[in-house]
Amino acid sequence: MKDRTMDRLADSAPSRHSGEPVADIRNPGDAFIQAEIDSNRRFEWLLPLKGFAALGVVLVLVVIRKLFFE
Amino acid sequence: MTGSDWGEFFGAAIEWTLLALVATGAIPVLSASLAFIAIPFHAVINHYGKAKPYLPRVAIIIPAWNEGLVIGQSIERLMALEYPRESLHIYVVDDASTDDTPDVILAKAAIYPDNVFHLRREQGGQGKAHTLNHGIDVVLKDDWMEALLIMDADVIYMPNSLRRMTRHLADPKVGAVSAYIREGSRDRNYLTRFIGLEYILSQPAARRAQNVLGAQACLAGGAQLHTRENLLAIGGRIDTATLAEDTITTFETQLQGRMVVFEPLAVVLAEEPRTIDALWKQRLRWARGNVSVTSKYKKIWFRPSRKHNLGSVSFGIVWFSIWLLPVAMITSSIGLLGLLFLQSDLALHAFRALWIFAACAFVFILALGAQVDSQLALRNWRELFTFPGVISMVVMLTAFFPQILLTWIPGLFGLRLTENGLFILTVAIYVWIPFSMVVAWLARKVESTAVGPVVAPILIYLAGYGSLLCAITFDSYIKEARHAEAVWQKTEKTGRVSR
Repeated sequence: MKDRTMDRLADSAPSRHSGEPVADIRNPGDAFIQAEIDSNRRFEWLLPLKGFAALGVVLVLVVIRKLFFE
Repeated sequence: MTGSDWGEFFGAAIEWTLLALVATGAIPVLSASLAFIAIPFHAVINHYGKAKPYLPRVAIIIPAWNEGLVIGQSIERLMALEYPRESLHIYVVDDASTDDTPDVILAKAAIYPDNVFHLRREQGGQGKAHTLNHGIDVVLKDDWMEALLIMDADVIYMPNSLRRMTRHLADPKVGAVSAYIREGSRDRNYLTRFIGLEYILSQPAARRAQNVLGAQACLAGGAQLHTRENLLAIGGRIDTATLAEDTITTFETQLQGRMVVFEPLAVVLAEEPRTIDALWKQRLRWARGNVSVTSKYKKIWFRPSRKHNLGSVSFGIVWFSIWLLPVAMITSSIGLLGLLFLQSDLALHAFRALWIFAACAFVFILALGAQVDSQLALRNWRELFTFPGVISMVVMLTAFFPQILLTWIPGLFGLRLTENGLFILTVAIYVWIPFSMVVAWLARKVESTAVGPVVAPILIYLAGYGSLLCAITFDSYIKEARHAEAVWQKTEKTGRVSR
């Protein structure tokens, strides 16, 4: 079966950053591109949350060790 | 000092030396942990603040040798990019292909006469760098080109990827931008799934960390965008003397004082090797290239400079930790075995400390890496959970929860470990890490036999994908020591990439 993951990732991008569809997707205009940059920049703020989640998994292991194996 | 004092002194000295050897095993783990701890800081330290809408005229050079199966699709994908078509020139450098590559390119050039150009080298086979230079000579002849995209014939650019790369070139301090090469084979097997995970860890994860550190180790060979100024500053040519032309280009760019930016949201799909043998050849080429790079730039390591960050201590540790990982694996085991045979109490403490640290680091790295590209990580969940290797996971489990392997499991069968049994098990655990490289090597050996399709994957799942890569790096030491001929071998591509 064809994997559609990347289609969704790619196809969702054009309309995500602006209220209206872009007239010429090959040259969407500065406002659209700037909105995309701002959106991508905001997206990076998920990284600290993801880092904390990963640390949380490690912490669970350490707590299990402390509680049951020491 | 009496004879007994000297004996104690030498005993302690040997013990501390062995302990230091064990500690070498912690260096790569520490380095990887620090790199991954840096990733969340990409929320603050990134280049998006200086990125601006910018759509320069881009010349795309595609080196092609017998790429008839894939080149047509690649050109079509490039023509479908969300990028002004009048700002795209595609130069396919046909490296004396003997299949239908020229016909496919000429057919596409007829459909897109203003965009697609066929360049033919009558004498081919000299390697990718020579082929690229043929195209670079052509695009530098006039001043049309403002930016140069170097790519592979088989990769597929997501429609928005080029636009997401060029926006960083609006900052004149940026010399080059790299994209996220994502494993994109249609018919995946265990190995391509491991490679997919490796690429998550090494690109959208680790290269974000390198953005934070301010030094990039390597531009992706299949997706590197240069400004014209940068290309001219590094000599207007790609290095042909080594097998690591991408790394040399990356280093030269930064040594000239220009930034290299990794753009994690510009995604490019690539076909990766499906067999251990093909992967081995590809990675051996990369590893031997890195040996040349390490030697060529010996004067920059650990020498901080105001012009670039390649000489920073953090970047040096990252670089050498990867390059010397097999050595660390071996010395660490020697240290543990030495302490064990000296009947030192330190052996058990050192083992526990090292492996608990390694377990925590692995869990953190895999948990964060999986979230960075969660869709691909979820699809490859089996390989995610077995990435360090099943046996290494058991070793980590033994360090973390010793009762499980030493008491509970034997207890299930009404057994109890004898002193000899415990000693043998301990020795086995201590030698496992270097031995796992031997298992990975065996997997390559059996792959081409009748039982290979079943046994080779089992061995890789047991030994771990990381051990396979370490075995290849170790092989590069041997090849370098023997001064074996370094030849450019193209990784075979069959057009398996799909969106």
